[in-house]
Amino acid sequence: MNDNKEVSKLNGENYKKFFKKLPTPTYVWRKIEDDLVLIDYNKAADKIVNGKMKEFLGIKASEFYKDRKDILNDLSQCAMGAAIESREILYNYRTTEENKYLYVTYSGIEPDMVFVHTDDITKQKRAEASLKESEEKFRMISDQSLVAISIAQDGVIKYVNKQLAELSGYSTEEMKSWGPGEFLKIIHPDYRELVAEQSQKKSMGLDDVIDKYEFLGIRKSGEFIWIDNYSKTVTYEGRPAVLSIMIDINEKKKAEKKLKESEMKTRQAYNRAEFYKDLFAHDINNILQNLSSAIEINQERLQKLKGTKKIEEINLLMREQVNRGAKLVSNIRKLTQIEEHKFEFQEVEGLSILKNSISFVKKSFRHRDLNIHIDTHLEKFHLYANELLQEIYDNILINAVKYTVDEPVEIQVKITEEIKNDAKLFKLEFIDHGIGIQDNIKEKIFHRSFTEARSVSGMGLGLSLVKMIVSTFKGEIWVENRIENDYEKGSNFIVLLPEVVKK
Amino acid sequence: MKGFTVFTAVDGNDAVLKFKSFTKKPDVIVMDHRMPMRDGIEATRDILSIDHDIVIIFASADMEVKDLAFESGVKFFIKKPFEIGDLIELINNYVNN
Repeated sequence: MNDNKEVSKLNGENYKKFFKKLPTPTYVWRKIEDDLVLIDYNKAADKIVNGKMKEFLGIKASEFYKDRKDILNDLSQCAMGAAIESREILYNYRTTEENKYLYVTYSGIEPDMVFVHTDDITKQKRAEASLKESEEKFRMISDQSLVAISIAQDGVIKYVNKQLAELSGYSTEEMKSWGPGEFLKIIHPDYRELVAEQSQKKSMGLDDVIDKYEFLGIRKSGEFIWIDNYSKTVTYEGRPAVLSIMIDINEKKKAEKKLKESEMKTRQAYNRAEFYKDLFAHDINNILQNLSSAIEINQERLQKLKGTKKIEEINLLMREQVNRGAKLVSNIRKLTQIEEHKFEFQEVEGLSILKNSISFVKKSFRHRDLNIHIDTHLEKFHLYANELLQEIYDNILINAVKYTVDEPVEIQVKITEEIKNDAKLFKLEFIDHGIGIQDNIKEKIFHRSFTEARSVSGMGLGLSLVKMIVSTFKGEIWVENRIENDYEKGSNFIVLLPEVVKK
Repeated sequence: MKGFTVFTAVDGNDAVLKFKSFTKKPDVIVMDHRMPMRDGIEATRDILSIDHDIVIIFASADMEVKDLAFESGVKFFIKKPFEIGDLIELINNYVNN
């Protein structure tokens, strides 16, 4: 064996070339007395230090690694024949001042050499650190999350946060120890098929899945709990897994149930009210019908007798009360129907309906001398309305008759056209010579709750119905004096109704 | 009254039974709407299934039932409460025409 202590290069050109061309930076140390001396290196090692490696040839290990006792120790041990495990170390290259992670392997070559191979694993280490940081961030977010989170793969729970533990009543360790499919124990039997199917499909990465659904869960205590589940396929450790986010919706379900019960009670109450309303209207009308028929029969008999004028007057009064009662029932019905949007709209011809209304009023007041005439150049006028249009006319005309003392009862219905905001309107003026309406109540008579003095009694509900109908027709209604500044000379009810717009 | 012979029924069932029992059918039936046992619409349909030429005047305070009454086959509709004179005029118009 050659025991030459001088610095020398390797012999054997082939081995030398092989060594020089190794891709892993490699350093050759020779043991000299108690130290080791750097005797050679390859190109890869030289490249790291930008070609300055030859400056270190002959340097002692004790000097070169004076700050790295660990490397020095490994070198010495290896030189003495010990088997040294490969290590990962963080190394600072003084020449370039770079820090790198190296995977270092020591190979002892008898009798006195040590080959040191250094693989640069810096990128790998940084990737590992980044991944670890990501995982830690995920865990931090997950553990502080307000929702329950789990990741399952092949039917086994791989990750679960503490919120899921609280939700289920099982510890995270318990859940992670369950075998394949055992997680179904926290699902109510009625929902296991759904959850199992969805879990399997998502594990296989299939598209035909339901992302969101509710299920009934069972806590460890046996208590049932409603859960909103959002889940999807994710990649976990390189393979498909199921990420689930669960929210406790027990309170929400209780509230929904209460709401449903409340809605049902409201509907039942509404149906009861509708029933009683219909029953009341029906029965009252029957009573009124009987009264009306009885009055008529009496009237006929009385006409055959003499000296019955007073009785006839009372009969007339009774008939008017019957009509008033019938009108009240009808108005209440119509008001509720309007509020419930039960009337549909269509194109109607306003003038013919007005003529019908005038006929009806004349018939209703056969005992009065009525003179109702229409003053207009229009042969027709069309509105977007419904059968309630006649209600408007009837109510205003009947009020005009009722509150006119003198005979004949003169009522003029004047119809003209107006343009307002680029839209055409029809203006209907119902002008009477009645007792009139004081200025301070001209607005109030259209309000349902108004029940003041004798002069407006009986007008309240009818006119509030009229106003409501006019509003549904997108029109306007108000009342003025027939003669300006003198309400006692009669009233002028003005109704503005828009013309139907042809499409 | 007014030259008419009037038969009455107490409810919808009675109306149908009486109609079946008549050898000479009435010229006009005045049918109420809400009645015990069978309502006016059902009674109308039952009577018209026996004799579809019968003239039925349907009386109700509920205008919402008017369309249904005509669909069931009634010839006339009169709103309650009505005056007897109006009913008599309606019957006379039918009889004379």
